[in-house]
Amino acid sequence: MKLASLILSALLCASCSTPSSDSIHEGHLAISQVQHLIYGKVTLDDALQKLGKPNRVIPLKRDLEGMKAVIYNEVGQESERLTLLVDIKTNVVQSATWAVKANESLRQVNEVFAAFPDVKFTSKPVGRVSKDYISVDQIYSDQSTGISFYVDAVHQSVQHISFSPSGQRKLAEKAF
Amino acid sequence: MKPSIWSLIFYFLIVSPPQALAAIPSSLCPKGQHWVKAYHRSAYVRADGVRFSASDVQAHCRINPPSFALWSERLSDKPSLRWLKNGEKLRPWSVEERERVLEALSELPPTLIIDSVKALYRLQKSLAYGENPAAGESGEIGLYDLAFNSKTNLPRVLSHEFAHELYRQFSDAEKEQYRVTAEWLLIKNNRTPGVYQLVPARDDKNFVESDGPESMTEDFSNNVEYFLFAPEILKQKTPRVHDWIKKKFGDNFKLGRGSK
Repeated sequence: MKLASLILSALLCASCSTPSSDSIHEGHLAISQVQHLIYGKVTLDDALQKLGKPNRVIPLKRDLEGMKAVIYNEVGQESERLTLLVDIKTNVVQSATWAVKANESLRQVNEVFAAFPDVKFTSKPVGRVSKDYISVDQIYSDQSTGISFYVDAVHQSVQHISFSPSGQRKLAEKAF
Repeated sequence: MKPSIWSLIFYFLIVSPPQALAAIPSSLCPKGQHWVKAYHRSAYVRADGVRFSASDVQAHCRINPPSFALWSERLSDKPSLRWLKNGEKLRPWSVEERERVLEALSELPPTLIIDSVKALYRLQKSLAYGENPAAGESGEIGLYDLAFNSKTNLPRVLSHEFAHELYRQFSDAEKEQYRVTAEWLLIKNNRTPGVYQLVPARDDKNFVESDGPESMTEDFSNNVEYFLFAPEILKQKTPRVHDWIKKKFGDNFKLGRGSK
């Protein structure tokens, strides 16, 4: 009996920690699963091992030609929770963008500061985004960690948090 | 409509005739009307696309457009510092321009004429883009000389600028709904850091204007503008967005006399 339950636990544990890349992403992702990946180095296959199978893969155009978006939707919704930007040729994940939903923690700027206490964010307004529109939204970023986030100025709400190559290797190594 | 004969006699007795007409205040016009000094009206295009040739307009009392009470106060000659800091140069509102803007606003759907726009300024020329009829910052719209060009559809220009403000004031949930409908993706693009936080998944041919892929707000404003002024093109290019706007704003979201 004891042996049987041990075997069962082992099987369950194995399926939890290393989801098969063939299994579609079914549960809620956590930002902690995303922030420690080493962007600019981690391959899509490795990322899929950690995150599960995405909902959609979309080849990109214009200045992102040669890249694809690997998208995980929020459970039961059409909107994204996480998007990975992947170089099609090298299969390396270049960045990840995590959508912060309403009423979640990390929705407020101070909550992001608290979640990343070692990161030295500096902010700048988005500025002109088209010939007739100047945005006063803010982008907070830190070059050394490669973490940035976007704040809607009207509602003072964090919209999404991104992880890029430039220094996050340092953060990831520190975390592990 | 002309002011009452007694009002005119009173004014002609008190002040000399040349100044009299110019000095008649709106208070002497019947209720619901305002005094318009004589002016030369240049050729212009109305919201429905009908062109009017130039003519001399006599001084008269004019029935207030639906938007008059609110918006006549917001046609400001004192631009905020952010415009002056950008080096933009002010041009005082002429009688003709004021009347045209008030008329144009009354043609747009009330939902679009969002109250968070606290001022409309008259400026000379866009320093960032010379061929720009208008520009917007948070709660403010600047109209350049080009907006009053005889070939420019001023209501259309205003619809685009107000749509920017409408988008700006959208709740997070509304922005999210539009983003998903219009197929904008959340992507951190390292090739242009800070600029493209959102990337369009639609093909270029599915945008009504070539500058649509530049940003989601530009795409939204273009689409609202086309929904009102060229709905068939919007329906053909991106039917999902057309249907979303229709469902979101309802059947009254169309050109015509508004109620604000």
